[in-house]
Amino acid sequence: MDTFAAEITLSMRFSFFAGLLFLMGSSIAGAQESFTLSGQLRDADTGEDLPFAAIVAPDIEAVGTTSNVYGFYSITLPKGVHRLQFINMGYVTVEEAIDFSQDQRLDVEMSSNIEMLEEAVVASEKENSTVTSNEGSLTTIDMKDVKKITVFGGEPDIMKIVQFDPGVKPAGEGSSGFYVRGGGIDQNLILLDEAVVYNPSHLLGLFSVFNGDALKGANLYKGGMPAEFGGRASSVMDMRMKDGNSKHLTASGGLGILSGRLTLEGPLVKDKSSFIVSGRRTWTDLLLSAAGGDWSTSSLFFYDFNAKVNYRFNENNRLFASGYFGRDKFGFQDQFGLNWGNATGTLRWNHILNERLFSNTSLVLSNYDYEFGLGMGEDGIAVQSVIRDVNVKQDFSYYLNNDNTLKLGFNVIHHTLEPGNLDAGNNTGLSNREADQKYGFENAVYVQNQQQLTPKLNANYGLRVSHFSQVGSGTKYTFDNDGNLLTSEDFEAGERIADYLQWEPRLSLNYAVNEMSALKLGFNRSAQYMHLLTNATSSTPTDTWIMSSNNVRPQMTNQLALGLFNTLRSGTYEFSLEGYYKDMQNLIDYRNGADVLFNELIEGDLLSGNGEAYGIEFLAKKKRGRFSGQFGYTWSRSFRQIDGINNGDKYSARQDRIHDLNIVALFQLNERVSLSSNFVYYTGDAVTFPSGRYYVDGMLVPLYTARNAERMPDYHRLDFGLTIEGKENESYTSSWSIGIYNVYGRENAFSISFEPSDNDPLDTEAVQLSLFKYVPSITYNFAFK
Amino acid sequence: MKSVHFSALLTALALTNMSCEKVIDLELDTAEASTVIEGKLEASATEFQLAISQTSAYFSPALPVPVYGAEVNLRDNQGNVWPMTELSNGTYQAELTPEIGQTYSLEVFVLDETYRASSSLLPAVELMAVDYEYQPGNGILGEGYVVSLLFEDDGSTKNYYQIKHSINGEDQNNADDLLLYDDNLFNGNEVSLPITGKSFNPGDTLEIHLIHMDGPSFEYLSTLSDIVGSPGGPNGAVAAPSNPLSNWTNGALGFFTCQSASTQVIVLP
Repeated sequence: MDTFAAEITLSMRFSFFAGLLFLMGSSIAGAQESFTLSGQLRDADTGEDLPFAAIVAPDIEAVGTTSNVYGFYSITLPKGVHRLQFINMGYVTVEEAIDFSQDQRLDVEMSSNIEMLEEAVVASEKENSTVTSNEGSLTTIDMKDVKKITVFGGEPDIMKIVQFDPGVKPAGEGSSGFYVRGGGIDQNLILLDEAVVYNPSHLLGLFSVFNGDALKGANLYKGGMPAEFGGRASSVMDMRMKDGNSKHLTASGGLGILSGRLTLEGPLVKDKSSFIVSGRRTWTDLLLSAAGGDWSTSSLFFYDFNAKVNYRFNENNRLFASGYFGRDKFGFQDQFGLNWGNATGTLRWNHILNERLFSNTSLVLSNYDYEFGLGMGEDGIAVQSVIRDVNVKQDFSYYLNNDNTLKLGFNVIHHTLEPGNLDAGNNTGLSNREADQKYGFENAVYVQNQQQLTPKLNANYGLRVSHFSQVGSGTKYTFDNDGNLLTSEDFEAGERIADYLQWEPRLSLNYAVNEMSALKLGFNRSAQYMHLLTNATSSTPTDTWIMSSNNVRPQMTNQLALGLFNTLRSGTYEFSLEGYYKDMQNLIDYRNGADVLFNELIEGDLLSGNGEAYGIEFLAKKKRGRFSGQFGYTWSRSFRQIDGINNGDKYSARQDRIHDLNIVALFQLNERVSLSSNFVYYTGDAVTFPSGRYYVDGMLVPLYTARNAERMPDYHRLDFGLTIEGKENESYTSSWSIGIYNVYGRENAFSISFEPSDNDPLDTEAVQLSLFKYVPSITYNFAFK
Repeated sequence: MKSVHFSALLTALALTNMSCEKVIDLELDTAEASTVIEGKLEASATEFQLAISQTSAYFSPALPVPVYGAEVNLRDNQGNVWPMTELSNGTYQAELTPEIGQTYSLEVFVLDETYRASSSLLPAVELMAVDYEYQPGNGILGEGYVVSLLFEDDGSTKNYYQIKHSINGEDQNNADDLLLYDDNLFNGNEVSLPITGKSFNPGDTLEIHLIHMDGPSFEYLSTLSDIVGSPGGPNGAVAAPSNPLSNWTNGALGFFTCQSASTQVIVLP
């Protein structure tokens, strides 16, 4: 594998330099003077940056650029007067005629004024955006588009929306974790303003930790990730918070049966500085105390709090500070309690060095902890586990010329893991234990270029070189093949215990066959150094994260994806058909009989092996008109092969869901009322069921043979939603969202267990537990303009 | 521990009152029959019995079918051999006085296959006291007595325990009654271990056993406890169940264990 990677990187580097020489050669040969126009794109009403908008010179063939994630754009054209169009979906196109006689700065504000949109709307659509935007395997979610789709709980939940995409499979009812193209549940890099969120799920996965009102949008990469992203093997979900309305103070929020939310945003200094503060809480615990009795001293709630403030020092410098804090608490009187939470903080400096060079410097902190307790005081025990990351990252975007946009940067992450501290009261007879803390450095440096090779062929290619080292203070353990401890060696603080270096080439090609179709190819090799050990499917907060070490090698993935993309009627319809093949190495699983809790020697109980996933994804969308929606179908397989599990034979991964169907339909009944519905169907998870029985010590024992050879029943459900906009008002909009989750009450299996029959104690029956049927949600939403 | 999280999940769901349970028809493949050999050598007993049976289809409501005609030999470290005689009900028996500190091994030849296992007979750990406390009851446990066993763990070795009990003469033998502990969290301490998840009624006569066993026996029982009882399916307490780690060679199911116990009888007021 290493030589293969080395070969790829050599050829990558060669083609990169060849490309550069060619460009430089052609621009010298051209001998014409060029000048650069650069600036910020912003929303005229709120002042929010507009990322990924298109800036096109319509009179010159195949010349254009896009604004970066912070709304900065830079376009270089030959001397002379040229027409420019600023195009962004949902906004009125801005046209300017610019005299390129010197380098200039132009900040542009774009309006999403709805009245104006009605007529000119078709022109404001990024012309055939699917076929021109480079990355295949990329789904972009704009929060403005998702408000009408009803999901469980009646809130626009970005994690649930992302699961409508083919290739993204929900982990199951009761979980907001997901699998992307057959990869594991820990293989998704979930970023909120550049900070990693370790557990994106609230209670039982009913809600994610992301409050839709505070978000601008997200990009989900299922493959072909650009070299600027790394750390997880299967996907990147890059979510961005709003910056806060810098023009005037507004508030918005909603009240529902299960939860409520409120967002406040506004300028601190008009057009220079703004803030946004957002909070959300469930009130299930208030319902509990009203219920009285045993439940009155119990708790079951979660809350989220997002805050962000930014200050524009001058047109070239801007500072942002953002944070997220959330907590889940579940407790039953003094008997037991679970609580967990994420906290993240980002400090970011955007600096425009010159009209072609943009810099982003960030300091990011991330903390995830969970605590679980039994009993109280001297009779109780509490177990606590913590992950803490400190990340320093630097990114440059260099707009070399209108055919090349270079990005390069580095990041250094320091990880601290406290895998399990036990605090035991004196009466329990147990000793306090502090599991050894583990430390690691995860570093990466990358360079990538987005290049228009020919008028029809666009490429984004790059190399990411990542390095991981586990450092002391800590202990290095070695084990034999059966997991018995051989040696243990202690290390001082800062001493290197183990390290890994990985080369991760990335490539994404877009060939515009004609104005309406494109062929896309994506290749990525990705390394992952942090791993989630889980013994159950849904991401319970008690799952353990571990870092790579001398015993645990980094997970590696190679993925190739090829797809055909088509639009009809200038973007009203979109079709795509994409196939992928992914091979994974160093996937880990527990050995049979592994001791999961408080096990200092857990690395000896882990086995590693390979995985393979492949599939075909089909997506059809109708994006405009009274009736809109999408139809997605995936056929896919996902396998594992680990020595020591299933006798070393290949077996289906839990998420080997062969068929996956997702249909979303929206119907605008009239100006104020819209209806939505979605239908989900997927093959049941692969699961291990007994294939015989026997008795030991008078107890009935199931016999297991092959792993994951059986299937849970297929999953399907239908949801309905209704949104009624409130009466038109100068300063205030409101709406009612009413929905029913699982309209026809399909009892989807959450678990199947085997219990002795009531009729005959020797007989066993299969008992299925299903979670949610006919769940109503009613939410009142409001927003001050 | 795992079952706590699962029951926490279930409690939350029950609260939301939307979940439901029902019996379903499930078709399962039946694997080829495997041999099951089970034997427990107790320090205080004068005879030792071994049961040999075969696996059957999962949904077949029948008692285990014994296997006849096996050749079984019991040995200790000192070269003593006890050939075991077959009884009419298909179990095999040997008469002996077990000696603490010996490692006993079995060789079983049945259905053209040979299986071997061995286990060490460790000294009993003294059950110092049995404490009980009356609890008024909470949502999970009804009112009644919670009973704990007090003993001292030997800090110089790794020890493995099982707690067994009977109520008014009836042995408590459900999956939930399989209580196993290793000394990972209390090595060398004087410890009070409760009989978890159960409350007893006033007037009950309890016979409590503190059983001491070796590592492989404990491994078997703890991997067994992962799969007996209710949890199952991908969202249950154990997502990827597998057969317990047996100390038999050649793939026999079941286990051979040597155990010593310290017993006390109490009557709750």
